[in-house]
Amino acid sequence: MIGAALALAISIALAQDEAPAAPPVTAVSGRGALTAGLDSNGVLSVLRFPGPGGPDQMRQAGGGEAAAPGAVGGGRWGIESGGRWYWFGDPRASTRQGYASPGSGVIETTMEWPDARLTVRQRAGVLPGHEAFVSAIEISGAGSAPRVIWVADFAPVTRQIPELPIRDGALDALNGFAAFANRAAGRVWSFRPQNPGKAEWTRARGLVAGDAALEAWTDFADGAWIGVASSAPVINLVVASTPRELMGALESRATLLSASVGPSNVGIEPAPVAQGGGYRAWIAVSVGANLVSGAKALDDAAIAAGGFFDAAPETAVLPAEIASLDPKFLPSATRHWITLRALHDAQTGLTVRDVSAVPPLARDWPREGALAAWALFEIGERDAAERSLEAYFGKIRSVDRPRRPLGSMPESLYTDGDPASPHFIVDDRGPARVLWVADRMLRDRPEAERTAWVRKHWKGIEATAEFLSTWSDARYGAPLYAVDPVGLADAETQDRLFAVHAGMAAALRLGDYAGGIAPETWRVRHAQLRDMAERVLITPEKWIAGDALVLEFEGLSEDALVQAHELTLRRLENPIALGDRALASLLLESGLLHEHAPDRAALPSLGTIEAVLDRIATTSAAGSIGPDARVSSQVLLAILALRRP
Amino acid sequence: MGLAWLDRKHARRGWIALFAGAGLLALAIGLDFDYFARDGQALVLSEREWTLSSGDFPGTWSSIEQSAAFARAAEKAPEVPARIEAWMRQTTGLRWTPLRWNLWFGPVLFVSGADGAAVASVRAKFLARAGFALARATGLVDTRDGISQVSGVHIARAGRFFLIGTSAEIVSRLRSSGERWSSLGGTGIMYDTRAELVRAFNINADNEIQLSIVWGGIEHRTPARAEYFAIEWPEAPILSAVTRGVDFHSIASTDRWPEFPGRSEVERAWSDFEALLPEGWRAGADTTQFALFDVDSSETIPVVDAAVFSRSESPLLELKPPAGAIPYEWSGNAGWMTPWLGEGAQLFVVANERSRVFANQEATMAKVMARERAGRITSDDARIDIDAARLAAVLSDLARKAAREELWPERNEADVERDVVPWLNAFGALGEIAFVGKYEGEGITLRGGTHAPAKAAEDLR
Repeated sequence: MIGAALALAISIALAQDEAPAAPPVTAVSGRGALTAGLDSNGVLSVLRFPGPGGPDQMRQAGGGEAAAPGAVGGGRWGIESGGRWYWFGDPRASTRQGYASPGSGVIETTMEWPDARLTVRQRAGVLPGHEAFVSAIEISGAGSAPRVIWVADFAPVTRQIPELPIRDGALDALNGFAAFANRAAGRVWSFRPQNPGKAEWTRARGLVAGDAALEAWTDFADGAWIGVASSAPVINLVVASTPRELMGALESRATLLSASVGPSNVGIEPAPVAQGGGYRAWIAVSVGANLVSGAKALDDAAIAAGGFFDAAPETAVLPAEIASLDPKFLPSATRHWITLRALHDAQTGLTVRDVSAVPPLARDWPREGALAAWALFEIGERDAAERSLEAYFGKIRSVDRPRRPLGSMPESLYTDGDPASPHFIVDDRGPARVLWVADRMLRDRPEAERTAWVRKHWKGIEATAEFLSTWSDARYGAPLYAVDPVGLADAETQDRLFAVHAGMAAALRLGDYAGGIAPETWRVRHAQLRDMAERVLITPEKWIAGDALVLEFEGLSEDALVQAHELTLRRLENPIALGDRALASLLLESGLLHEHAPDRAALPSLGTIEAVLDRIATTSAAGSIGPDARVSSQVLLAILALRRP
Repeated sequence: MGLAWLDRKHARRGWIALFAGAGLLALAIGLDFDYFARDGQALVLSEREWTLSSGDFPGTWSSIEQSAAFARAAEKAPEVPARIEAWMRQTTGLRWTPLRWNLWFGPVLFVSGADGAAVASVRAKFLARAGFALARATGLVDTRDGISQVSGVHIARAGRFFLIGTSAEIVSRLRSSGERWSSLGGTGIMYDTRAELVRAFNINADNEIQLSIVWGGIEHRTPARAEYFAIEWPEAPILSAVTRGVDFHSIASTDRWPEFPGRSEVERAWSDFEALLPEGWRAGADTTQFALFDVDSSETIPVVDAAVFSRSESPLLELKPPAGAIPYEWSGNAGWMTPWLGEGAQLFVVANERSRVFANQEATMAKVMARERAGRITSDDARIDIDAARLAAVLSDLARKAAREELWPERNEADVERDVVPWLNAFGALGEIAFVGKYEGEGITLRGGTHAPAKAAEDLR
């Protein structure tokens, strides 16, 4: 039984590519702090606080239920027109979604009900500089003033379980605590203090039973406090125990409870304002550690939200490296840069792969995060890249302990640095790519600066290189068993071989920067790995048809380079057969090959690159997971490498 | 003289009081038409998931309180019996003892459960009827549809019985469609899931708690020999088990598991793990031993250290290492390691013609193989040993961890420390728990119970 439970925990912890139960996030908004994810119907399905890797504050609804008319789960608008209610998420509506402009973090979703000739355009996103999300709608086609309501199924939580990343989506039943309405201020609150016990639950039930004054709710400890305000005037505020009860009450104009304990659903009904032949309304959602900080964020958001439709969509200033790109690459590079920026925690420097709660992807896998750091470095965001690299070096294990070899690092991390994968999972690609990226970020710096950096980090470099050097199968020298997330089990894969080879090559170069201090055993191991990588590259039938990524070409034989180049080009010419992750890896690989040997490895044609970028955009939008930092960082790096000539 | 007069006056009053008391008692007994009833009957739910019954509940209660195991548990966790007593006093307003229970409710107790609720059925004796009527008449209890609520417990009369349930709905169900059952009588408790498990409870001559578990529906082969060899594990396990003529897999089979959240995910994970095992791993062994040596819970995800040993008198299906397995050798025995997920979840295997050993920690496999020939001859069909103290320590650790990570609904660490850990401490003080099993009829009967620490092995040998 314990074994089975352990197996379950591991399966969940490793889950990366399984189909999610809830509709996938298709658009993400944020700047490395509060982060919102919307599904293709404009429903707020993920709200992560305090950063893109923080716990999700929304309850995850099952796919079938969420797709039904009058659906539950997430945060969404409902509009009454002509005596009927129309809900965001309604499968009968036709939907269009995109960003308000190429460099904008504002997500625009248009819902149309052709039979009712009703069109609702929503602009939604996290307000830059505020811990608040705003959703503003513009309704056209309604004959008379419609009623509008916004409902949300919040699951506030601060929990973060080390090694087991199921804190939010899979544990929704344990999340949430209480909700209450502040009718005087026209706001509703849903919150959960940190680790509430029997006393807190009893007290909250007492407050609800006694219809306590607002002030009584402020005495709970810090945690996650979510507030909702809307455009004035507010007609109704509702707190209920279930989503259907909530929507039923709003539709019939009942007020229901003033407060509720347990699963709490909140709703707010603003009076829409007539403007330009249509009607407008907005809501703002803030998240804070307590009522005071949440209310402050909500006050600020309410001021900014009023102009959300009228003001030009927030457009980021593009970094020079992107702004100077060929116009053919610009839209794609801009979009991937916006994604990467949203998924990179501005405070801790770690980058989550995706904001989805199910499967649990809001984690940093150093093997992917290292490439994200390199992408930030290449587009000129040097401080952010340095912060990432320092964070990864801080996670290299400096003590040899059972099941945690010296020089290894956790397979995945929460954005605050806590391990997010079981401690006994060994991942050699993470530390290998961290070393390789460290070298990439150092190689063009002045010699003295390079040497100083290496000497400062030598302990970590040495431990990692020793780990990569000794974690080998004594029979034939391949890297010893370590995790392969594709098969959810340890396996000897080519991708691991290429990564470890790249890591050892980088370790030798880093040693050279500090005066050739790398021991001879590293050189022997590097030569062994290089020979094995060559053998794999030259024998095409052994090539994994998945997304193996070759980063290091230095020292490979002519035959190996030619084979790698031909195979990469051949596969890129048929992008329709591959997924976005495999295509991103191949594109990056072709750029690196050309960078290494421009005379022997020609670039893919412009037409091929455009077709691949289109294909990535299409498969990303239709994929089971949303905007993906792994794809975005590799595509960005590829575009920057390909345009260099 | 005056004093003598006073003495006579007091003596007369005393006699009057004594006669009045005797008269009232006679009246009470006379009114109590059930006082002499010895049919051992009470009500159970007609649609029930489990039943717990005792023909002499007060006697059993008294026996438990006087048992050595209870004394050990009460010494280690005195707050547990005190808390039970306080709860009963607060709920009913009475300080309950076995004698008082007998006077109010008689000896028979039936508890049946369904849909997460439970309801007890006891005789409505005179004192109980009078007390209940008084409480209702004075408005001390809130009564609706004939069901009264007292401190979260729901009580109703049903003819000669009192029904006491965890919800008004379950009490109503028993009242309207209960079945009348007779207890087997005598000291002890029986637990019946109406499926395959029947457990009887008793106190043995050594004053230790004993259980008899009849586990039906276990498919087994008739052992070819009366005696067989059981390996001696290199160190004392937290939990160990041995069976012969039956595969562990059929006992651990997931279709025997009760419903719980995430069951399908656990089944899928088990099936994924089983796919890593060599084909034919569970076929044909005469005896199978399992041992759980340790649960390292120093990190959030506990790491289990366990081993399985199986042996057969006839040649077994040859096990072959799966692709990716790494060859190993222990004490001259060739085997292999199948990687799965790092050193917390991998499988070490030694398989030859007549025996197989599986372990998930390399050090444990080395120790087991070093002592592979050490063991003893036994004729038990099954045996289970539990080191309650170590198991309780592991469970306490996991409970605290679950509370710390907010995985325990509406309980934090302080709550678990106060409400859960004392119970586990009491369980840990039970000592060593051992059962010996014999095939009888359609199933296996396991007999055993608590033993003073370090005595179980000697007692059962």
